[in-house]
Amino acid sequence: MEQFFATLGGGVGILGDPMLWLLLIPGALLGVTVGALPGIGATVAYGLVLPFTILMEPTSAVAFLLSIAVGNQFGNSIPAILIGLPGSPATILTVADGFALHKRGETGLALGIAYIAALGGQAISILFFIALVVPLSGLTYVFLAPELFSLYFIGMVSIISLTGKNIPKGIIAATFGLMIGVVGLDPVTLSPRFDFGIRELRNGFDPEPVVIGILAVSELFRQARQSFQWSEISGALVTRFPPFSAIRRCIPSMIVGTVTGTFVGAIPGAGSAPAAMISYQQSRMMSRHPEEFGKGSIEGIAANEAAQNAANSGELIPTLGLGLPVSGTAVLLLSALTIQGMVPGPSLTRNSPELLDAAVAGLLGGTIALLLIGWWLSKAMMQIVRVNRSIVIVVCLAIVMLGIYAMSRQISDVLVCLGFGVIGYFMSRYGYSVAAAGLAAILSAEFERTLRQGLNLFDNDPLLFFGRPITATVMVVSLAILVYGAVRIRRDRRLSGAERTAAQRDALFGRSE
Amino acid sequence: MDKRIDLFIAGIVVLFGCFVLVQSFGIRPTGPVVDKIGPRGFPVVIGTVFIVGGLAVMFGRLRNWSAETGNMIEPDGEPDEPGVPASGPQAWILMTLAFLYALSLTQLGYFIATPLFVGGALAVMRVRSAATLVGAAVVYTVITYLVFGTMMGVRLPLGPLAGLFGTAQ
Repeated sequence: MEQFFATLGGGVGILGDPMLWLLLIPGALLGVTVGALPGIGATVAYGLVLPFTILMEPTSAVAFLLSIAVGNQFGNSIPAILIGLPGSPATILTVADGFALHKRGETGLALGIAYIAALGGQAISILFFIALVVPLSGLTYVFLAPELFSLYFIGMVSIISLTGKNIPKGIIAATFGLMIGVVGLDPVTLSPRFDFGIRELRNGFDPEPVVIGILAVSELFRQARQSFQWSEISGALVTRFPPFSAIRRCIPSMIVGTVTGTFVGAIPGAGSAPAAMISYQQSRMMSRHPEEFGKGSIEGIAANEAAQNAANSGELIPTLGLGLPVSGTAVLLLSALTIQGMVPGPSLTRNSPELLDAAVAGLLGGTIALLLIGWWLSKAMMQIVRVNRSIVIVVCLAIVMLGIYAMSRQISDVLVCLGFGVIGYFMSRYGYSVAAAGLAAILSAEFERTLRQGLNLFDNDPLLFFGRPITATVMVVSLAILVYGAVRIRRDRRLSGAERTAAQRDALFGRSE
Repeated sequence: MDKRIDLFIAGIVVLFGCFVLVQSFGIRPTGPVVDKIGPRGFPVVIGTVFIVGGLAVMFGRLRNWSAETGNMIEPDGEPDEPGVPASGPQAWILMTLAFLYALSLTQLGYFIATPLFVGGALAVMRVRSAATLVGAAVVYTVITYLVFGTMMGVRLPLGPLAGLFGTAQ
């Protein structure tokens, strides 16, 4: 408890420096703005500002980068709600509910709930972060390869079960994502696989161009099939802040999202996407209105947004507690520290305890900055729907390509991004979940490595591997989620079949009422 | 969704699975294999899942083939916005333009390739006002150059204009 208050006090103390606010407010502003650009996430924003952190103190650099992450998670939900484009993989389910609300003219309700949930999830998860970061370092001895494998598995199964209308197609999509990760060097023996002698494929695909291509570029291509203005489908923009009754209804979902986001975000490779998916699923199971999920549920948005922001804090637990980066942004955060002469590893915060204070300051300061400017900024971003839709699609596509180029300075990465954008276009048109493919592509190497190294660790005995209590529990829950998804899809099909029959009957005989 | 294309794509998945499977058996470990699964185990499973999954989709489609009248059926994927005409070729042309832009960026340079791409893509997206086409292309090119090229220090390819703008970076 003493350590908890010491770290919290240290973070608040750093916030007393007015000069730091000159970094935190622009950081949050940049995060929201970059997040609002579809397809350009925190990784790109980090990649772009990383060179500037050389000029900063390590604590200022950490606080600045984290304020970007805080703003970015909320910013990602803005295009998801306003134009139906996921700003990041984690906001895919925000698209389902937020865009549906926007099309019904309830934009303010969707954005307001996203804003409140992002703030709440972020603020509460900071307390979880402080409480867990030190004790978690002891978990290195408990979370071995089997547990990690099962957590990756449940992440993929959740997304297959939740985002598709056809389970075999979902499994194929996830397998495609795993296949993308297989290209390059085998993670255990370093044998080359599927590189066909092409030098650029020797180290495999970089995850950012692949995921942005599959998720964002494919969506832009799909949207390019039609020429119309958003104002035609948006109706009037209602920017009124949601009433307290709506916020109160969402509180349980926010709590679920915050807890799930913090813990799942802390899992290496998991990050905000599976955190959002799992908390969405849990929230749906708890809800009195599960039928609204995917069609404009404010509880769904709340769970999703709280989980995404809480995952920011969760990601920092292994990143700073163990020196183990668990996501692309965490890798870049550690890169910033390496530039400052620090050595990533389990002794990182032991040698530099001020980094924990800086992380708390960055998360807390980013949240306060978001509280001050976030709602105003999101309303300003609402003007995007008044802009010519064709211009937005083309400019977004051009910025995504430029962002990919800016990350690696390689045209080949832009071509990879576009190639996967084309594949994703056909996948999304024919019901192969692009979300499952994107997530599997990110997790593929670790998924395989934990399975193989884990089996090796347990004398190649699957019973020992899968029989560990946490692993067995998570695998059983995963299979239950898969079965639940199959039953749900079957039920929805029957329902839509019945609706079709009723519509045909109405067309033939007129409505009975 | 056209059920014939859905069936065709499932067939492609099966063929791709066969390809992955054949390639997997050709993977040679570079060193001593320290685990039972080995470097080819995971790809073999992936190839098999593609084949089984593709066949499952094909079987499901064929089983309902006669029950579903006509070729257009309820989509499994993301539907188009209702009430607005959709054009596949419009999207394909945009894809082609994007590839051409990426491929020509180094040769033509940012200042020539970018306005051509933005203007061309807007024309494909049925923007007919010349002022909008030219204005959007020029404004986008200048602003992104200032943000990425000047503020962020990204070295954008300048092509034939390298001599003119090279010193600006």
